[in-house]
Amino acid sequence: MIPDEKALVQRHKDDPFALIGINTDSDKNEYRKKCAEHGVTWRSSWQGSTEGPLPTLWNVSGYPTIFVLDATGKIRFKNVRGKRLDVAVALLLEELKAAK
Amino acid sequence: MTTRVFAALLLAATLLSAQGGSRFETLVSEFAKANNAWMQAMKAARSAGTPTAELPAPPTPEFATRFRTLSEENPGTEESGRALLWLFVNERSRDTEEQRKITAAHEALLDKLLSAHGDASFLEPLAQQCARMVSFRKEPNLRVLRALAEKNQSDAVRPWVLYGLGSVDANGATEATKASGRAQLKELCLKYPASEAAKAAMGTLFEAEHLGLGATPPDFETVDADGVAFKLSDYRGKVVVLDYWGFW
Repeated sequence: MIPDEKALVQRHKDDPFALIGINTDSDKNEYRKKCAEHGVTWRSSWQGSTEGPLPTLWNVSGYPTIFVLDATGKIRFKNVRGKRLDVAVALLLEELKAAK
Repeated sequence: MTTRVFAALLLAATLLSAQGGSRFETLVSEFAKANNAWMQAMKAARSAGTPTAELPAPPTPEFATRFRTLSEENPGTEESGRALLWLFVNERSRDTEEQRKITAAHEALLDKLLSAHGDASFLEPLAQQCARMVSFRKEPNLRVLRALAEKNQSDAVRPWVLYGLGSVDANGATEATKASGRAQLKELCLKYPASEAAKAAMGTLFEAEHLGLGATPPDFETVDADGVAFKLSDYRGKVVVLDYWGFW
């Protein structure tokens, strides 16, 4: 999963795009170490566990769980991964560009 | 998901050990000791690089035999019922073929448990497990929840039944089913506001109301691992991939 996300972030580094993580690891130091190891550069909310406030409120029970939001903040795709995630992001960026 | 399932089982085991009749209680604490020792041994073996085939054997099969004996000695008593429940929650095997047999035996065990103790409040761990699992695996969880809905009025069991059945309906095929599911979940939240089940139901209701395709989720403010605060709305104007994840 992480290599796909890295490629996605890299591909859209000059676009109005952001990948935001909601991280559910429990050990901050371990998390930082692994981020460096895997080249994870994107920002994540720190939840401390899968029972953290956001996963609880958003009723997230499987990982990863992905929401793709458009520029107005609407949920447009859910749980798309790999190539489908790439297509979803590209479509929304295209839509945004056309609207401007 | 596996973590959740494991956590639910662990919780169920803890709940079970917190109460119960004397012989049952003794057996539960003996098992807890044996299981702890086994987990320590596993940890040591893993870090020593012991091959899988030579890892220490779990104490569960031996204790399953003892719990089964206890359940058969005085059928119909609470002690027997708790022993049946222990088996249902804890007995499993690493061997796939063996696990298949256990699963089949548990079906029969479940019937026994529900017919003799369907109204007992000590079935809370069962209700909880089935309610949490029913969205991943419909049978036998749905069957258990329906049976409990009919037979069990206990304040410990009832919230989980409402949660399990309500969540199934809330994800149902038709609008009417979905509405009925949401109504059950709302009833649960209003009637048992302090229950764990209500907490879970609020998540399901939030999801149904705010996290569908085309919905705009309410803004949230949070902090990253460095303690820097940010909001979801900071990213308006951008296409956003929101990714719930972890290395673990």
